[in-house]
Amino acid sequence: MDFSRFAAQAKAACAICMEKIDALACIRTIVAEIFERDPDTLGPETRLMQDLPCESIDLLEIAARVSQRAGREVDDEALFLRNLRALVAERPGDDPAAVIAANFPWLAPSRVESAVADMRSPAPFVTLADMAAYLDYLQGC
Amino acid sequence: MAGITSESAIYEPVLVSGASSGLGMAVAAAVLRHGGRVLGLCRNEASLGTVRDSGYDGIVVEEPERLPELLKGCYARPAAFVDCSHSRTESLVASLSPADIDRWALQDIALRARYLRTVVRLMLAQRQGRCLFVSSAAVDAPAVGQGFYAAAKAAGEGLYTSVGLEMAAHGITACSLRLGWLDSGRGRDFLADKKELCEHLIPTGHLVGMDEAVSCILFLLSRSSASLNATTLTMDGGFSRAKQKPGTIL
Repeated sequence: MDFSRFAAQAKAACAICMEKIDALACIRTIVAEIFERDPDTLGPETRLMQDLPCESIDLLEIAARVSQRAGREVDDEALFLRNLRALVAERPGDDPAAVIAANFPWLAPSRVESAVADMRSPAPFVTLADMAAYLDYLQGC
Repeated sequence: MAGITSESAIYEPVLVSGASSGLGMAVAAAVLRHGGRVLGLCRNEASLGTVRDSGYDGIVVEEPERLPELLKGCYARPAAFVDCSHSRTESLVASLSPADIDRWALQDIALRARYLRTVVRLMLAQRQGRCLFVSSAAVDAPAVGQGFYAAAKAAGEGLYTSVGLEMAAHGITACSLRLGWLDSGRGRDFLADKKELCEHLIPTGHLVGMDEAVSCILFLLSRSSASLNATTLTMDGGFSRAKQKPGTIL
C-alpha cells in the first residue's frame, strides 16, 4: 500500500486543523495513519472501538495527536466519551439525554439521542464524528 | 565522550526539569555546546531567573498539563526530557508530620508522574523521544534522614522503567541514572566535612565529577544509547557494590 498519499493528506489536514476549519478531516487522518487505513474508508459514523482494532495504546496515541493539533491538553475521558455511562449511572432519576447534554455540550441534540440508544449495548460507541465535535469544541474555547 | 555523542545524534530539543539545579544547568550548557536546543522547566520566577542567568532559556510551569500550550515553536515537539528535579525533604521517616508527608508525595512523586505523562504524550504525537531520570544511589543505600528522598527516587525509577516498557514500540525510550556523591547541590552540603572519608570509600578514589555526570547524561541522550531502555544505571565509582569498610558510619 502506498502511504505517501496519506502523509500528504495528513500534512494538509494538520494545516486545516491549525486554521480551525475541518476537525473531522483532522481526526480521520490521525486515525487513518495510526491504523494504516485509507482515509476514504473512514467516515463520521466509524466507531473507534468496534470498527477498528483499537487498543489502549492506540487511544493514547490518538489523544496525543489530537492534543498536538489542538495545541493544548485534551481530556481523554471527554474525547472518547469514556465516562458517559458512569455519569448517567450516577443520576438514575434523571433523563439520560439531559445528563449527556449537560456533560458533553459538544454533542448535537441528535447525537445525544442516538447515544442514549447506543448505551443499550455494552460496547463502546464513540465515533469519529464525536471526536471531531470535541476537537471543534476545544478550538472554540 | 564527545566522540560518541555527535550533535546530530542527540535527541533534541531537550526539556530539563529541575532546571536551576547545578546538574540541570550543567546539562543544559552541555547540550547547547553540542549545538542542541534546550529549554528549562522552572517552578517559579526565581528559578527561571537563575536559569536565564546561566545562559539558557526556560519557562515557568505551574501545571505540567499546560505544557502543550506553553511550549512554542521548536519546543512544541520535544524529543528529550531530562528530569533533574529532586526533593529537599530530609527527615527521619517517623519524624515528618502527616501534612508534610502529603506535600512530599504530591511534589516529589505525583508532580514527577504528571510531568512524565505530559511529556510522553507530546513525544508520542511524533513517535520519538528519550526520557532520562536522574536518580540517586541513595535508593539502594539511603543515609539517615534520606528515607523520603530515596523513596521518591525509587518511585521515579519505577515510572521511567514502565514508560520504557510501554512506549518503546512507539519510539519512546526511557532510563534512569543513579548518581553517587556529586559535589553539587545537596551532595555538596552533605560532603562539606566528609569529602576525604567518602573518597576513601569509593573504589575509584574520587567523587563523581560534574563533568563525568554530564558526559554520561549526554551519551544517554544520544540515539546510540536507545537500547539502554527500561533500566537503571548506577554511576558511583563502584561504591554501592563494595563492602563497607569497618568503622565507617556516614
